Amino acid sequence: MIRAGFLLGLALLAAAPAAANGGAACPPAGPEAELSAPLPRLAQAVARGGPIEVLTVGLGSMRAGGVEGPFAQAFREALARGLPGRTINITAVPTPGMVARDAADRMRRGVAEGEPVLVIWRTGLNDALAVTDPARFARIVQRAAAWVSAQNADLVLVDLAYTGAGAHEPTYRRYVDALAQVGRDGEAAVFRRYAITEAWYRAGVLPPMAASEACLAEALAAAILRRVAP
Amino acid sequence: MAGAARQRAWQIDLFRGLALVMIFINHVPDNPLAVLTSANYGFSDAAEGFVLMAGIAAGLVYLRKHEQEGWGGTFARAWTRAFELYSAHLLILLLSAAFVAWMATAEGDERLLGWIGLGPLFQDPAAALIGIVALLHQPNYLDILPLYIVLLLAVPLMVPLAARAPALLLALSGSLWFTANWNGWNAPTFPSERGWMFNPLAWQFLFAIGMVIGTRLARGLPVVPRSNLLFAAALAYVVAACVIILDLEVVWPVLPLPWFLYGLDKSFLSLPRLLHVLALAVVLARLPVAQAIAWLDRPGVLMLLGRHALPVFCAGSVLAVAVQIFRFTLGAEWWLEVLLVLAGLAVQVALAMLLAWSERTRGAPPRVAAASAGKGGTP
Repeated sequence: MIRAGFLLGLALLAAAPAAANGGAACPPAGPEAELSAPLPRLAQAVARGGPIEVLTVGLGSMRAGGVEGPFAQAFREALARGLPGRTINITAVPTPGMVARDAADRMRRGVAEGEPVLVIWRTGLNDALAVTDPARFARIVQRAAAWVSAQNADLVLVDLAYTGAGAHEPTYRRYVDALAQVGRDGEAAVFRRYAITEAWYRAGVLPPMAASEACLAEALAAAILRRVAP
Repeated sequence: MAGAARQRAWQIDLFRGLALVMIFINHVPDNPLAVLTSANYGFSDAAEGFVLMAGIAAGLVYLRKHEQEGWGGTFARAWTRAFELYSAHLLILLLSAAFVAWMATAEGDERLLGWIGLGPLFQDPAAALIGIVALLHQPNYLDILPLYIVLLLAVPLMVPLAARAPALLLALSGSLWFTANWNGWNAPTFPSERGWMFNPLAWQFLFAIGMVIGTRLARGLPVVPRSNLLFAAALAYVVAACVIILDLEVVWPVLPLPWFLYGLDKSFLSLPRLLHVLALAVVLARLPVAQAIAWLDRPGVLMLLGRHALPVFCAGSVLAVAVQIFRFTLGAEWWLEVLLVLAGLAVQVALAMLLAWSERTRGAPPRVAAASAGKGGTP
């Protein structure tokens, strides 16, 4: 696990609110970018003041310049800009290549040890590639979501990315649908990365992979901030 | 090798063959045959059993080596073996990466390049190559050999202790396991920062336990006390773990204790997993399970696989990736999944038969566990 504590006030001074897309503007995120549920625990923590503990799972590392990190880094910076003056501690649990069953164990340990108020879990792609049983995948995520909720934390699930209509989109969509179902069951909010990137793709504005990740991270941070705004 | 050890050698080969089959099946997630593997019925899975048996086999082999040739002989053999495994690891990683690259190219889908955690190899090859050669980049399903390489490098330090002061070895090894878990220490990975899937600082404890068992077997000493109370406790733990795992509604509690003492964490070999594999070993040692499996497997396929564990394991690792890729490409009909997995197992059995035939024609003595651990057997 990598711990990255930082002062948002300092981050504000250091980072201008420029677009994450390598200086170019990110495509506008439409209604797809709204979270599917509120984040009551995070909202309370923001209202209370004090440090905010966040756990990210499967978002890659926080190391600057890390090849897996554009999403995690951009997310951290965008959150910092949106909550100026607040200390936000982000603990990252990278889970490269892990299916949900294995990643869930790592997430539980991260939650038990870090006691975050917000957990961001990106999942689905590795299960789609491994063609795990979508129903079982949904059950695993559902149980993990219920467990996170019982630990008094909000969970945001981030689903797969869309990169263009391929022969296997129906396979990917099964896992997107499974995550959407978990969201409808009420234990987690879903950030619909697949829907956003598909909309960008159809509009002909989908950025290249790394830039797209950074733009999505900004959209996620913005969606979270809209849910906790007083 | 003492008579007791000779009698147990076939059992080690048998269970190692069984573990190989289960590992292969588990490396094709959620295929219909996965219901037959131990991972669905307890806290630990075949990986724990495999490392425990690797320790037992290492105890059998390297104790004899140590007594016959001294520390130098042990060092030379263990480190030579580690280099063989290192070469095998690089080969199977290269083949798996080639499979994935072919698939992504053929499908025109860049998401596929992230398969089993291979992403950095294609996104940042310079960093990934450094990581691969230094064992710091370990794609999923290809991460158990690096653990065994590190364990083999440590064998020259562990064997003298196992031979003369096994209690001290267990105390030191257990302390390292505890300290690593307490502090969250893991071996580093690069360019990813997830840490080793099989944290060597934690998993070495299971290997050390196996090594002490192996040295006692080699000397004809009893391993498990014939205590009904111990057997009952082990059986109760195994049954309770099975009930908990099968209960989909159970919510894992959060206790005011460090997570590794009560949570499930494969990377750090948390206490419930460690106790589960040891309890399972106690139960299997007491009940005639090996005899029953051997009766069912009269052709001796499992023992054959166990005797040629390294080449079979390497072939299985690449085949599991290939089966995953074919399953993704062709669709996940249940009968196709079963067919692909059985075909993969058949290839591994054919490979083991070929190796056995090759040994016979060369006039080499047939392998037993003790021999195979030091030469062709234990990954």
